[in-house]
Amino acid sequence: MAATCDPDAMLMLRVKRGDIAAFEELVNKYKQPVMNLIFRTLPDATEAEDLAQNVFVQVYKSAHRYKAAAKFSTWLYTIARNLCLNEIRRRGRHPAESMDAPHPDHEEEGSRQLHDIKGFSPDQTVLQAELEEKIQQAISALPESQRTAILLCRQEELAYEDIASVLGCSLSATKSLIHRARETLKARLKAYLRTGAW
Amino acid sequence: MNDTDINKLRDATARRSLNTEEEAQLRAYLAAHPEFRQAWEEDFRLTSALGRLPDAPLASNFTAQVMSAVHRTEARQRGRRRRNWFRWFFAQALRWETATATMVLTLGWLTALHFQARHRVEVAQGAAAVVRIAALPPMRILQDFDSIKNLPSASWREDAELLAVLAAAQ
Repeated sequence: MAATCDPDAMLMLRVKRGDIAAFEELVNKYKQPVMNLIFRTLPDATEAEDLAQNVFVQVYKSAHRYKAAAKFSTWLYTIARNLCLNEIRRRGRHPAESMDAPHPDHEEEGSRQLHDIKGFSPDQTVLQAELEEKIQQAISALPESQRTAILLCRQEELAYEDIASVLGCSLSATKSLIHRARETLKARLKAYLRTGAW
Repeated sequence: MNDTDINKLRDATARRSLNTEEEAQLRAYLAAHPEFRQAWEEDFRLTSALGRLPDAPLASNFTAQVMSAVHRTEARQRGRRRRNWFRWFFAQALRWETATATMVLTLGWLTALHFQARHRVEVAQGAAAVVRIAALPPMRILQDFDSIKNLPSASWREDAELLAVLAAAQ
């Protein structure tokens, strides 16, 4: 989608002119997708939420520099990814244990329970929760670039070119990252995929 | 189906459910290549699982918290702009003080130079006067000054007669 036709880019240009209501509209639209991306990178819900807030504050502070050269969502996810990378580097220098992230010594304990509200029976709900936990762990174990690529794939409004722009690599490299990520996930989740549990 | 079509289907499978036409193409392909069926089914299930991942937990007042943080940022920026303005003002004032002090010092230096030059001129004029005095007759003409001074005073007529005799003798 050309940036000039992107309604979110138009909203962001209004934010650039000082329209705070336009900014609020963008926050409401993208808060969940941004949080989904960050939460799968930093599995601590509180820290992920803080970082997600920082993403939008950074968007607001950078509004005067915004140019509608690409889709707004591409720009937004680039900021989100960069802040995630900064946080990962910071943690690498000052490691601290997350209370929410799965710990190798306590694998049997459930981490944050994300209940599926679809109409499953109680047994199915427990199974569904277990499957989601497994896939969450498998995604968290991916290298950062593969993880980001595969999570951005879930955003249907992002074309492969947009994902490549967020990752800062070529289209073919991006497709390669997505392919490798999927192969890794399939290998890790083989048992569940073959039984048709999903 | 050629490899390009297969790759397109694979790309589509990675992001979404296939449409009716795509499903028909894939069914035809797998009918011809049943050995790939399991791999394709795993692909579908993975895409389905990724699509069914629940949303991350998010506070109900997330937007309000973001707006609050933005207002705090704006207030800090306004405070910073005010401090920057004061800093700029005092920097300007300091520049004026520096400029004034420089001007005063320069004037003082120029004045000192002027007085030095004038003093040199006065000294030179004094020296010139001394040089004129040095052109006077030598001091030995004063050696009989006291004797001459103590001579009895004679009338001016006798002096004039003496001067005429002296002049005739020369």
